[in-house]
Amino acid sequence: MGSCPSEVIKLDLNRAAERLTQTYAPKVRVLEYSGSGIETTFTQGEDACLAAMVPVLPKTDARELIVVGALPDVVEDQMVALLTDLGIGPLRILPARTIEDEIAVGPNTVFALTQPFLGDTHAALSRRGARHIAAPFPFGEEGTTAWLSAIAEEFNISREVFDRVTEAPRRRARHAIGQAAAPLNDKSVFFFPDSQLEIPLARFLSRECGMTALEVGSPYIHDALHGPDLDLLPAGPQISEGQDVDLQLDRCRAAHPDLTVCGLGLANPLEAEGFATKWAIELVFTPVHFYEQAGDLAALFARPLRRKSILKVAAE
Amino acid sequence: MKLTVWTYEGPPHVGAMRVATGMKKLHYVLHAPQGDTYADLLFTMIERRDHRPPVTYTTFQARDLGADTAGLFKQACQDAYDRFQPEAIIVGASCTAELIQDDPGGLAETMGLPIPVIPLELPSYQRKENFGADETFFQLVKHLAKPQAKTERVSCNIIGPTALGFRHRDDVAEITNLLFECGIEVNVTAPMGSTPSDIAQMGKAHFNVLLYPETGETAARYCEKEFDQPYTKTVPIGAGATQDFIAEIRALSGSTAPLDSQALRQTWWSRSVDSTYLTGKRVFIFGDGTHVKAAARIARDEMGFEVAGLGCYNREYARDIRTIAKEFGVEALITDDYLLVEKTIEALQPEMILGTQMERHIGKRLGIPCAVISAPVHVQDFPARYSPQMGFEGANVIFDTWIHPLVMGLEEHLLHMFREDFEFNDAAGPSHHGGHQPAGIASNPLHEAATEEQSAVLSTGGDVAIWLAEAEKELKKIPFFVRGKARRNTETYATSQGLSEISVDTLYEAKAFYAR
Repeated sequence: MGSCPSEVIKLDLNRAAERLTQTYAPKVRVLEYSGSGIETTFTQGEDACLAAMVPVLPKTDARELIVVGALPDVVEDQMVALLTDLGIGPLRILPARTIEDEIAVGPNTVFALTQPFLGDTHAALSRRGARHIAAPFPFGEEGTTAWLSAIAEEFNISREVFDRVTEAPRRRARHAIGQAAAPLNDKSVFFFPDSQLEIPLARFLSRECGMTALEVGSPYIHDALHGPDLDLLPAGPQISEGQDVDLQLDRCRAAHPDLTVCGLGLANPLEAEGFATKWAIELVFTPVHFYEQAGDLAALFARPLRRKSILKVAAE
Repeated sequence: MKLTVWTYEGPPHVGAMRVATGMKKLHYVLHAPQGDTYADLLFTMIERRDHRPPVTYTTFQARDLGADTAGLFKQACQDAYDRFQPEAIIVGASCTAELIQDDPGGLAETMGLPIPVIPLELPSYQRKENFGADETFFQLVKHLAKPQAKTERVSCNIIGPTALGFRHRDDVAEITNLLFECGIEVNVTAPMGSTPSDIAQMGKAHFNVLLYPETGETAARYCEKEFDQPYTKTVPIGAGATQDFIAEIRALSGSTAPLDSQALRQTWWSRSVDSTYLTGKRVFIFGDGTHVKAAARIARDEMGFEVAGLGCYNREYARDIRTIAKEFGVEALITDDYLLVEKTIEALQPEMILGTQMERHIGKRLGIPCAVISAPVHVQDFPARYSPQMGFEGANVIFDTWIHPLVMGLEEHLLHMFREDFEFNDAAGPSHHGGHQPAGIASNPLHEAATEEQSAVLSTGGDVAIWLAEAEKELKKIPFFVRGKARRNTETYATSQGLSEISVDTLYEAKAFYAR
């Protein structure tokens, strides 16, 4: 893995990886990718790592589904159960849990993404002839249903089967969101660019938790990935791409949101100015995808507001 | 610079950030890519700072690399001046930007800003965070301070405290108060809490109090030479060092004001009978050079511990630490490789570790209690309460902090007497720590898994004597908090005697051999 300095001095890690592979093949294959922070956010390291795997995947002509994106085991199991119950398969997951899991790609492969920061992996799979199933990301009840439904449609699963499989978890998810999201209703939210999760999350908060998005900042916006979520996002919020933290802070102060989603570098300074904040990195480290986590996702955003309303004593 | 999972010190530009973030009305324009902006959260998250560090990053991108990164730097510099209106600006490059050789100092100079612009040359690939802080503060003093008439009343500057330092906030309060009681005024405290215009006034003081040599010594030497200001050599951590420090400032200031030492409770707490159990506890000490030096003296002379090993991660202090180690009759460990530190601790099997945040993790893994004595530290070591390390109150705080991870005196006996009891069993651990067992007890696969099997002959590794089952059983009767030491001593003894098997007799022979 390259870092910022190795990128600047143009260290040829690709050649090094090739040579190492020649030495250790077939037991070990060495791949190279960049984890540099020169123009990437931290989530793009995962993207670069997955994208590096794609060119060396074996070729297949089989019609298969690859679900792309690293998820906590428990969430991945839930997802596999849902897709299997729908009768969708053969199903492959990238990254596979073990190197022994067979995964191949070709012109009949279709793939779905579970993480909105996988732009390079999307491009690498497309170059191998695979076709992306565009869909909103599986956050919240609506997002999960839309994501599953896009895949179900691709595999010609009947409405009846789809409803039977998803009815119970949808009901649970709606109920859980209803419980957790009460403090969010009619509140406003402002997103600083951090992880590329911003647009799907803004869609979830606007449509399922009753919030109004004032600004949705994302480090990079990718139409093929974020388009379906952008289409669902109610009109109104300023959508901004890229980072200029001082100008964004000026806009945030002027907008005076009820909740600000930002990185840890900004969270305490904004709290000290009286803004309730949700630090964004927790959204990457906590299980938040699919139906059974939809309530937890709403609760992550509700907690700072609940806390603010509980604490009675502040410094003068 | 080395890429690793964890480091004791960051690159030198983080040291410069510690100076800038501690100060007011100073701005740091840092030529750096987007990835380096994550350094902000060291301050806003770990230290719970309520302001962003006063740092503007140029955040150049790959597409800029072939083009005009210099123009980007100048723009960032101008924007920072316009927006923040600082009294002075420091400029420099991060590890990555150092490679593209844009010369931020030279670029900033040509801009003609109406305030002092101070260039920093911080070699990222040779030096580290403490050097960065020390050099940055030195450059500020060199550029801003001028010789001046001394104050009428005797006064001093306090030198060295920075943002993200271990207890700097409270140390400064404690020492300021001590100086006040001696009738000595504090002219400027810097870098923490000062502005560039305060630093310009530093020449007025009669002498300097150097609290943190790691981050202030170069400036202190400069002031000694240029402004005729001697500086203190004792760092007042511990009761003995505080007394030496008082003697030093009395000599420097001529102060004869009597000091009320009633607040120093540590000396009595250490003599009271419950503390008897601290006698000869084997401790391993690791951290920055200054804190390790102080801790070693406290451990031996004020707590009655035995120093089993010590070391530091900042190689600038290697010579000092080697001298101390010689005095204590132990080997000095000078390294910034935490894996080597872990290995050393594992081999020494101390009863307690005095270290940094990383040694606390190591202690957790090995089931050895640990108290934190030095940066780098995590969020829980920036306490809300007043909690200095220096002065009389600092000595009290250190006593409390160091004994807290240990099993209390009487409790050791209770644990032994009732070791079969569900509440006091071997795995229970100190009663004031909420019932979680020390990790090493259940998870020492080498030792514990073997005893489970109750096989007749037990092996613990290649060149080590074999434990007979009876001896292994006997070993289990020894309280858990000394069992590791008993096992190690017995094995060392057996090897030295050329024994291939350890019997119950060997165990007690070894016990008698090592009796103190």
